[in-house]
Amino acid sequence: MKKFRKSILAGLAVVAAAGLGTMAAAQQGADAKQRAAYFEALAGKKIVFVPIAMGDPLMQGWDAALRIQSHDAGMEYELKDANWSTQSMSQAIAAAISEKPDVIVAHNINVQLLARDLKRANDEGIYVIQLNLASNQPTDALVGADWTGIAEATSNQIIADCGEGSGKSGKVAILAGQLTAADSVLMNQAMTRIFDGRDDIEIVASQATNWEAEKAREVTATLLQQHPDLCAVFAHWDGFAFGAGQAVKQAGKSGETLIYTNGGGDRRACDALGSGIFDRYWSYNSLAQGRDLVLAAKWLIQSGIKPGSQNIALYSPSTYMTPETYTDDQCWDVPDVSHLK
Amino acid sequence: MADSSAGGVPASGGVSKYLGQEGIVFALTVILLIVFTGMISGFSSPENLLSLTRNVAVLGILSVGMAVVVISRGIDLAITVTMSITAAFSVVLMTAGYSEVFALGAGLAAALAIGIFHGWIIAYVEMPALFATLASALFINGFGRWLFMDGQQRAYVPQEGVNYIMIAQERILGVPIPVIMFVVMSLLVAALLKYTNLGRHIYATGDNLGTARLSGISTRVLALITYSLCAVIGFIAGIIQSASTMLVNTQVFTSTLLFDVILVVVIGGVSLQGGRGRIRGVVLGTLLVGIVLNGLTLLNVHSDIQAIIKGLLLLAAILVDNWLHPRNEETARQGDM
Repeated sequence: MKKFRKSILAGLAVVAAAGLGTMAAAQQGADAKQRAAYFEALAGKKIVFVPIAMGDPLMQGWDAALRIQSHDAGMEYELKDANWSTQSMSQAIAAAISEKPDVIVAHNINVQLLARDLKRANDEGIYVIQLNLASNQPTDALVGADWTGIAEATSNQIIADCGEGSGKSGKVAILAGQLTAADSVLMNQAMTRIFDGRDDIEIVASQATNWEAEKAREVTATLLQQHPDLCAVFAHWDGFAFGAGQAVKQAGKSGETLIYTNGGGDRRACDALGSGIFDRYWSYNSLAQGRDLVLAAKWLIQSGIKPGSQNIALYSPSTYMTPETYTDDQCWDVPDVSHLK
Repeated sequence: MADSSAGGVPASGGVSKYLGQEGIVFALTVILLIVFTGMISGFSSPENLLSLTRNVAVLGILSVGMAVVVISRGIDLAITVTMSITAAFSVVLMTAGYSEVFALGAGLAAALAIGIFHGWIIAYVEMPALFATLASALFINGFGRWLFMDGQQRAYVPQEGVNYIMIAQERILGVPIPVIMFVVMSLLVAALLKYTNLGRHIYATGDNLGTARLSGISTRVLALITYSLCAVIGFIAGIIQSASTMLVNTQVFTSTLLFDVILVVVIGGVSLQGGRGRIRGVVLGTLLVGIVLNGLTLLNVHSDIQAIIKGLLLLAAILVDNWLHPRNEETARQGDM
């Protein structure tokens, strides 16, 4: 009896194994097919990236992700650095279009400059992904920080820290990179919606810094002189917020005048939170955004849809960090991509 | 040689004889001070005046350096790049673990080398200063970023163990150290220009290069000295700025700082045709720009409007310069600004 049961069990095991084997083989076949199709669709496809400037971890995070993942997928990748110049940026986009790549990733210096060129790129059959700073011209995809969401969160936090019941003045200073860049346009709109009609919040200044830390320091120092009870400085980008933070520190106002800012969340952000230069930080993790970018590019290429026929938004999640709550692993270090250059 | 020893007193007649550009700038400064005081409460408080001077201290120091070169009928369009790249060099060395003294010494040496290079290429190779320093600015910026910035745009001052940053944090008798450094640099350079042979030679060379050379002044060595002085002053400004923001931003290359320096020098009555102008005027010009920027920021004027006002000021200053020091066959030269 025992023997009989054993042989039945053994028989069942053989049948089960054979069945699983067939399923595995089918699965393997499907995967191999899909994998082959994936690499075939992407092989030799070209992505051109035109950032406002390189040399900042924000842009280096995007570049590193694009470089590594396009390489892994067998795609070509080219960087055209506009180096803070609107003229270079126009030329870089024009040159990119003439090279007829499959995807152009554009980081718009303002909402107007590239609008026509991006439309032309779409018309010529090139997918266009806009990154973080959108232009007025919608294209295939937008990958970027949710400026409106970040500004709403920032504004509400400012109300909590500086508004009615906080015992503070409610005075707020706004520092933009350029007032016509997409981030500042959207953040100012969202902030105005929230602050409008409130008596407890007063915007004492709204100034452009040309993305320079020194200019941010000067403006903040000037404002602190005139408004010693300034409660909040909302700096639209961490790259120049460092200067505003130093002005607060040098005026001996750390902890009284708070710096609210956002950025790509690289190591510098955690350092600044740790040393009390930043007080409230929203990270949109530009390294992760780089992955989103490649994802969007891969999807567009494999989908085969007509360039310019749709407009997908992929807003990046943002992480709220303060000196009390941040952890070191929330910030990232720029990967070494020198072997891919 | 006209009026080089008197330094800047205009030779032409009319109203200018009594007023002069310095007088106009001084009057304008006082008028703006009164206007802003009326519009903004506490504008002329000692604290705000110190704050606005502190904000333009770096600009003022750069302008003093530029003035020396312009008086000798040159121009250094690489001054802001020299500032950022040499300061970045020092900061990178500090980050790499070198001692502060060594790092600052190396930055200073780099500035000196840049200055000597400028003097050599302008006085010995005889390339017009305008083009030589413009090309050099591109070269230095690219070379510095490639050599030791690792492609980075900013160099961050180490968070700990760096003492020089106290120049931006501390005060002496209530006065921020950058303001004191601005005053000291201005006095030193003014004394150099007014009381030393070198100073007289600088005016003479700027006034008329040929005559200066025939009179036995070694104008080529003089160019080495003036451009070196300018570069070293640029390095000092860069060090103050790095201590202020805890970072060096090589993007200063594309900013309006260079424009602001020229604005201050020209407003201050230093003629772009050389040989004329005083440090006193440059200090006045710096204060005027400081008052304008401070007042417009406090009035929350849009930055584009601020740029328009700065541009108009520069145009007005150049017009006054041309009116006071009309070009003639003697002073006009190919490659002049």
